[in-house]
Amino acid sequence: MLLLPLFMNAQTRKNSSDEPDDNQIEKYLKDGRGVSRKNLIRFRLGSAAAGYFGLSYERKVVGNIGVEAGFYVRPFSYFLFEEMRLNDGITGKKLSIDLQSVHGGMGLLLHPKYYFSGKQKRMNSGYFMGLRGTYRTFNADVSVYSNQIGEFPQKDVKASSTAILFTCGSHQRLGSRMVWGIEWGMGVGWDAYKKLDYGTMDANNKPVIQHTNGVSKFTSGYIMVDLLFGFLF
Amino acid sequence: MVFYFNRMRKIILILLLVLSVVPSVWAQKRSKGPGSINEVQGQAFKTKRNDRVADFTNAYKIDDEYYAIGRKAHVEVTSLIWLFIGHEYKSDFVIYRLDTKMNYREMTIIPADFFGHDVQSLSMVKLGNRLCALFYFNNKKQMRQYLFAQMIDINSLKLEGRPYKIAESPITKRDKNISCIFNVQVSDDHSKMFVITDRSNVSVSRRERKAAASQKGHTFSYWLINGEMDLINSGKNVKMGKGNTLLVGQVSDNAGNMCLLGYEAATAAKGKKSKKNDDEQNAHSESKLVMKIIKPSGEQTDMEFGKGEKFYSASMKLNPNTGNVAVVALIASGKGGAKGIFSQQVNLASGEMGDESTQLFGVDMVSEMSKLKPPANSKVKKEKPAKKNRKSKGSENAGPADYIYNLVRLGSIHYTDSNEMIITTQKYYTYTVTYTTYDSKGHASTHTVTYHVYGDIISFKLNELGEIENFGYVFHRAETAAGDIIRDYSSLYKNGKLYVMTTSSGGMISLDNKVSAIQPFKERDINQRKVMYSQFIYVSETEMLNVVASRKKLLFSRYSVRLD
Repeated sequence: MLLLPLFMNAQTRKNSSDEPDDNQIEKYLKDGRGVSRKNLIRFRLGSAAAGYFGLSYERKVVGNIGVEAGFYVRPFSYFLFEEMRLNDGITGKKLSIDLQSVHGGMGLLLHPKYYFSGKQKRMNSGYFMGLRGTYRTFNADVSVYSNQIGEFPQKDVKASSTAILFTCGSHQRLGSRMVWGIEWGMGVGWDAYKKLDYGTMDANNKPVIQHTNGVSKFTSGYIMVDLLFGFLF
Repeated sequence: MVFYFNRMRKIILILLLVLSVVPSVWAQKRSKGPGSINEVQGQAFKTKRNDRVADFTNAYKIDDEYYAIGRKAHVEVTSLIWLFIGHEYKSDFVIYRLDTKMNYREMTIIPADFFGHDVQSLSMVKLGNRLCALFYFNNKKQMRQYLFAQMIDINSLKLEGRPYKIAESPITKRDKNISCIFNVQVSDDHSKMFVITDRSNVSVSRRERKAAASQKGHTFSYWLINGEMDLINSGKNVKMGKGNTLLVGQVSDNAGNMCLLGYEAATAAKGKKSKKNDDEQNAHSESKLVMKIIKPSGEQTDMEFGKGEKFYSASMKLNPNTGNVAVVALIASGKGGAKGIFSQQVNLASGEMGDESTQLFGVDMVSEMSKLKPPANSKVKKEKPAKKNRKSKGSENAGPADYIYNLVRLGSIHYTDSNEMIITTQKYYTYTVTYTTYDSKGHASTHTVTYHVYGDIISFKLNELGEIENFGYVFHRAETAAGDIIRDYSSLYKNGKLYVMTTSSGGMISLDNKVSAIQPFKERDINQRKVMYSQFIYVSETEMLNVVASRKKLLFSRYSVRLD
């Protein structure tokens, strides 16, 4: 397992192949890992599972500080799962909301991060911590619960979601041009729903529909795990 | 009136006497006397986070300027879902140019990057009239480790030409992240570079050690290269000793004669106990030092000495005046300390061996040392004597000790002008502490910390025959839990004076069988609580640089022997 051949091929005189060689350096360096790259395009599997398809671009801008920016669209309706919310839209004094399905919309991602490992200005690999901001728009089918009357379903409610998550993760080389990585995040998000209707009781204790023309806001906790694949160039 | 005048005259005479003495006393306190260490401390300067140095490898003095060479490090992290494993790689070289006052002048970075591929830095040596930056690279497809050399102009610090591949060695699938297998040594006149590849340079698992021990022979490969990057000679799979041989040192002289020293441990006889006589039994199992001399033509000479002796540590050094290589080793007593010094001189050019010398300390010398006490103002307390073995308590009187407890580490070898040797040794031991912590539910968890203690420094003067003439003793104690740093002091020697320096103090060691006191250095102008490491960098026999690094600053100091 370990050692050089014993006694066989013992060489006691110099060989021409042992001469210092400055002509074929590239040959000695080729091992499938590829050269160092500065740019990375990422595909997020977690976002894709939630229905948002797109790519993000990342580069280290100053020293070990990198910025990732991405754009996503949602061509299909509710895909595999939505990002996990710790408390499902429970806020406010009067209403709580249950997300039934989500469709359409787009998403933006801005993710500044600080790399603790890896070479400066190189995107080959690294371990980072960052602050991920996402903004998404979507149409949702919801059930609205008031504290007086139970479930009140509504369809095609226009909504948006803004989230800020504290993240940590890493990525590493997979072949000469590809990387794969994992990212963990935890944070807070704010959902806004336009023109929500909900049920309530009038003075005679009869159920009536209450219309809201403004925006109903809900705050949620978020946790996130994402699997990432990237291309170096 | 006369009486008063006489009294005044006496007072004046006394005053004059006092005034004549005080300035000379005052002058002695302010100036360093002959034989003390010159200390020059520079100004601490800020470093950028991205240029921080992990360790310093070499330093050179060129004209009136000093060049301190360090290596940056970067960590690559492998993630496995929830587990992140980091691996540190040495990367770019950083060269700091300092003036004679140790103030920062300029910084140059030599990148560890060849044509977009990251390589790992090893060291930078002076070869010919240029600097040679050495890098290594583990090729994970070809399963080989390559050693590269990039030549650098010594004045402008600019790269010269393309990098050379100068050596290569096979590695296994498990060695993909192995550190450098190569050992590089340059002759005193910087004309030749001697490269060897030996797996004992890197840490190996117990299984690998066992597998190596079962092999019949230990092999290595070597390359001898001159300053023009021409190969003088090379050898592959060259045998030296049995499979369990540990490489102790390598040296080459200006003519290109190469010398390697190894320690071959004793091997147990296999199978049933044979009925062979004692001599054959001993021949099968004894340990020894093995040496191989290789001439530039490739002609090899093998020799062995110290048969049957066990050693705690061994070293060798070339005397450029005589062309002799001296091998020095601490003879193990088997009771936790050295009982003597072994030495052997070999002429590198002719291969002529001098007489072996096995000098035991003896009861008298050990007793003399045990009676020594630390200086009055020293903070170091005398170590307690070794506890007597309970098992042997009931046995016959073991008698006074003839070994120095905990003396197991050999330091430097210095040559005097009359070709005698001054060697430095140090006491070293470890102790472990097990800490038990309890969580909120009362569950206990334990973790064990190993502390490494670096103790008293003892210097010996050996004459040409290897006989111990006298010794010098320094009381010292420092401990760390951060792993074994081998030794925590450096030594300089010139004009019959030996100097020892630790990270905080230093002084001249008198070899007169007495205790020498070392004095604290100037207070470093850097926040001590934020110090990350302090390191000595060898410049020459008479000079050393010291670098203290905090998170944001570097501070260089120079220590040199006063040459009167």
